[in-house]
Amino acid sequence: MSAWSVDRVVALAPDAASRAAGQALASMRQWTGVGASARAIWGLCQGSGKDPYQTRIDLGEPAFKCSCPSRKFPCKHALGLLLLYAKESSTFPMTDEPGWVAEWLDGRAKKDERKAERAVAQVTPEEEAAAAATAAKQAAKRVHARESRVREGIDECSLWLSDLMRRGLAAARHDSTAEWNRIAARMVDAQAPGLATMVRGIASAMTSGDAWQTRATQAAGNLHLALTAARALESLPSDLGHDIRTALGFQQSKEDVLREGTPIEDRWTVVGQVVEDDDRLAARRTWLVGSRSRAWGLVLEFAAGSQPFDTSLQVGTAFEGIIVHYPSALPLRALVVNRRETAEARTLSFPEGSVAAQLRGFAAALGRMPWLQRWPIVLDAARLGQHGDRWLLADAASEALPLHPSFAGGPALWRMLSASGGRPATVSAEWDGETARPLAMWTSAGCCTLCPTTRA
Amino acid sequence: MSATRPSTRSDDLAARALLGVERGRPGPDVAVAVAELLRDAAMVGLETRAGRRAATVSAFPEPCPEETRPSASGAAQARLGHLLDAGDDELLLEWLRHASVRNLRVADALVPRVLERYERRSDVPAEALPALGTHGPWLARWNPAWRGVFRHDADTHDLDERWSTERAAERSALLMAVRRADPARGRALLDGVWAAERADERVRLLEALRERLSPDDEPLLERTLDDRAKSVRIAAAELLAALPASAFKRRMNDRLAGMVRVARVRSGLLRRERVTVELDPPSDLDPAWVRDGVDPDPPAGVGKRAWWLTQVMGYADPATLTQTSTLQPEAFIEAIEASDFADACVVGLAAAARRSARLEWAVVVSAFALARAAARTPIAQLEDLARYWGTLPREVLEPLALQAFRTEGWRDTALESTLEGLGRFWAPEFSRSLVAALSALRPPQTTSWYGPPLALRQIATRLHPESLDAFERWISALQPSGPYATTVQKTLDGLLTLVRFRSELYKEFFT
Repeated sequence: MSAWSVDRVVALAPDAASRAAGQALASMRQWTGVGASARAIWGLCQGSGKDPYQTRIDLGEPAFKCSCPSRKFPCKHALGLLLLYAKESSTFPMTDEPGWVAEWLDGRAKKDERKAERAVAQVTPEEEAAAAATAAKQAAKRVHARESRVREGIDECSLWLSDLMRRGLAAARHDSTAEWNRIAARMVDAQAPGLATMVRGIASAMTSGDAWQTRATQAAGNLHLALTAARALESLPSDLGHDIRTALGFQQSKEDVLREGTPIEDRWTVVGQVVEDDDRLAARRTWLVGSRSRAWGLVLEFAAGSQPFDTSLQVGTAFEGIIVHYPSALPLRALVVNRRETAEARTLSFPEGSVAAQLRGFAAALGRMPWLQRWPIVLDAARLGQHGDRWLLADAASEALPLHPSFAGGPALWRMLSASGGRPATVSAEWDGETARPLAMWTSAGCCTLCPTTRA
Repeated sequence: MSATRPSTRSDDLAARALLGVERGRPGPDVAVAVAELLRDAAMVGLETRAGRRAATVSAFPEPCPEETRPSASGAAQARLGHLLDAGDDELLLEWLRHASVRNLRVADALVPRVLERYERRSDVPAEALPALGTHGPWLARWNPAWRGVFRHDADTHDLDERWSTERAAERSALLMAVRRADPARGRALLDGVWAAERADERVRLLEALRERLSPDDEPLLERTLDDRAKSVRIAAAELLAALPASAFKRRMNDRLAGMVRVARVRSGLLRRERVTVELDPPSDLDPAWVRDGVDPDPPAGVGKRAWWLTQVMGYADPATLTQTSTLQPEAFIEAIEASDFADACVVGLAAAARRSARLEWAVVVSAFALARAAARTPIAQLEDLARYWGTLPREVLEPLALQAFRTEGWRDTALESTLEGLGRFWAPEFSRSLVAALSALRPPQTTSWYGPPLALRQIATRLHPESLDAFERWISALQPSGPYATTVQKTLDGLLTLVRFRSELYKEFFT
């Protein structure tokens, strides 16, 4: 009866230690006063403090609340309780929600309503409008100052790039790392961090092994395209303008996106998720696809330090809800504004799931947005195949895509090979124009993630 | 757009970018040329990304054979994932064994993680393997590092190719597989590469000869006694000692017989004949002994003659003692009890009992050592002795262990070694008796502990799961006191966590 499988709960754990601690608490003898209602479960767990911790879980989102002092989220008590529920939901008596549970749930429901109201607010009260106008004026001033610095950065970067081409890549190869870092740092100072990233892209292409000069030349071309477009910003369509601003490193506020974007209502399946963790900042990409609209959504999240990611979007689940795209010539990045009826998606059906069709789709996407870095693809009868010693991802017609370096013979490859058993499966992946990075796979046994979805 | 294919255009552009525009075209047009180059690079870059064609594959793996075992429950798989994260090999093995017994298997996606833990190992207990289903051996086809794990059914296709290319662990697995089918062919393979291998590799490959070892292997082993590396010579001696009719064995038996002096004296009123045994190892070492693997230099604290006796005794057949002295094992031990060389003899006997599979000797030797331990005069080199116990059968070790508990000799290393010898998974009956013996005991003197004896940890790890609840009650009732109380309590809590975890693991499979 429970829609919660153990796998799904385990995937919520922010790290391995929490997973272990949660396992230890997933036993009835650790709990008292457990109960369940249509929307939630709860229980009391005796910790090291005097009073037992009150743990409650909203099963819809899911959302967690516990009175323990842990900074982990969800904490081990919430994980343990939910694991217990996944294993033996029948031992949770259906009863009325106690006060401490009902209050929290009602509070959440109200907050959601307010959020939804804000999201679709059409009329603003007049005094709010006035205050907003003043704030907007100040903001405009700041924006103006930034834009002029960015323009200076663009000019400086163009000059540097021309100089690079004059001297030639062979000569520049002898430049020290410090020299590359200097120009990248200049772009950060000029508040155009996107340009800094592109400069580093050239630098890393310079040391990328075979045919590095081709990659470095094209990376230089890519930067040139961005610089040229940035100078012609006024004359370009506004959607593409947003993309160029994003490429330069401008960020759009969520409020602007919610105000300007068109909401799409659909049943969204979470088809893949990947975390890229460097020491200080982890970025997570979550890919959604609408089953009616066939629209893609990319949810980007960042976590600093050892902060965990939000747990509401899990690969292999689907929800009814609304997403709003960031304005773009190729709308991908999105915010989720409403989510309900989350359930496991044990299958994924996708039309046009061949390599050829997906490559055509990518070419068309690139035509609309030339700085596109990654494009979501789904292959519907994919298998791992070999060419010599190399593994590739092939479709039913034996047409194949090279695999991302993280799949070069390591644990990720073996996991995928083993989970598929060498049989065709539906596979979601990110395609960057050179390699495919598998994200998740659907076999007769359900969904299986293929790359890290939590922080190490 | 130009009709030239992007690849040649991009090569051309890259060449120009590499050299730099100044060198390619000196003069005032440089700025124009740079702009052109960058524009073309941008276009070609996009064309390349957009126009990439599908690659080809030349082969698909044959699908994994259908699984006949169902996958274990989601809860059990989650626990397995946790054990893999934590790197707990003891409990991992327990999980796999439970699953194997219950005809269940590891979730497909987790099989490679289990294999990674066992990578390049050829000593994975066979009881763990069924839980890896058909996926395990199937995956090992593509990752040679995992082949050693499935040594029991290592296939011998492409033998010649693999014999000359694969790594050490896989080669030894391969050699064992060949030996099982055709011992002579295995020997020939080994002979062919022998001279070229490094010493540690020679030892490892030699070990594979234990598979279907026979008198036919003797010439090769006898030659190996002259190997340049000591470790190889010792490995050869080990194998020769396992061949009862070998010339090596006869030499050792003769040497042993030469050290045993038997006298018959009539004494007392009844003039009853009594047999006395004197042990008399030589004072100089014959070089022929050294060639046969006898190490001339004793470890610290052991006399030379005692050390030589121990080794010769270890390689010889204990039946030699019965023949020379006409005494049965128990009587023989009694007869040498007072000798200066009693300890050396007993340690050697333990090794000999194992190598020659003489159970009756193993029993008396263990009982002797245990009696000495209980009397607080443990024999020297107890550790050496205990090493050999591990290979004694359960029927011998179980009563020994229980006896050790009942006589409260339970802090001794001898007990720990006995328990060690019982293997990773204890029998249900023995486990019940052991907890009962434990409960009858007065609680250990916790005041003097630095920590509970190692034996408790062994019990917590290896007790049959059905006795865990009783053991948990026993530990919970212990009340440490004295200066180390907090530390001891912490260790006990650790044991409790382990015991509860194992208990839950068991229930996941057996309820």
